[in-house]
Amino acid sequence: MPIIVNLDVMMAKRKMSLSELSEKMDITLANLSILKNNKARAIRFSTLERLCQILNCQPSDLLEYKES
Amino acid sequence: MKAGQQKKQRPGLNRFLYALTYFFMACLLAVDAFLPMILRFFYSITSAGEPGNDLISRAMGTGGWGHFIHVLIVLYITSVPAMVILWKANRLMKSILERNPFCAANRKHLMSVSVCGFIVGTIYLIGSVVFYSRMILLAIALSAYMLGVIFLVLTQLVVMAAEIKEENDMTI
Repeated sequence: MPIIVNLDVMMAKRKMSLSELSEKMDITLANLSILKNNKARAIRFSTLERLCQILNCQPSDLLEYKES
Repeated sequence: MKAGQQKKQRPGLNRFLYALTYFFMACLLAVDAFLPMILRFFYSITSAGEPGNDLISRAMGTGGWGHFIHVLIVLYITSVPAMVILWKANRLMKSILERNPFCAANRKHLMSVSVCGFIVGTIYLIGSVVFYSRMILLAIALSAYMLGVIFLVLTQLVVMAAEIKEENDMTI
């Protein structure tokens, strides 16, 4: 998929685990792992907003476009 | 609010329909077992045993009860697609009971039902020429073809719904 989610990079920088992040974000662990493993088809702006808020970063830190 | 209501929407009806498919399968088997008896009874009380204008009647010069074996053959042959249709309907109801109606497997089930409809229509078409030439057989063939077409449309509907559902499920 051309759009890559660099969630693990950001989580390592902020020293946060998946379960901790899912708790803070109030989304299920399954959904978060779908996002992390690049299986997601789309992401809501509200989810992206919460991610950026909790991880204190920009969307460009999380999303990357790599031409296949 | 609406999502919570949907969880309690007619569980009884779905379970009844699931049981109904099993019941119809049992009825089909019973009819298959007693078909000669049923046909004999039917022929004795109606004027169905008349000579017809079909190939076998003309060739063999048979009339009336000569049709008996022909009708029997056609009905036994069409009971196979009928059983397949009932079985697929059963699988569909099971997927509905498991609350996953728009899945990839249902596409195959619905396509099978459509193909069976076309098969039954063709059997009746051939039967009206070879076995028993009455307009009623052509009418049955036409309605079977129509059912086949309707189920083709339904499969596309379910495929599209499955795509939309997956897109929605994979939206975080």
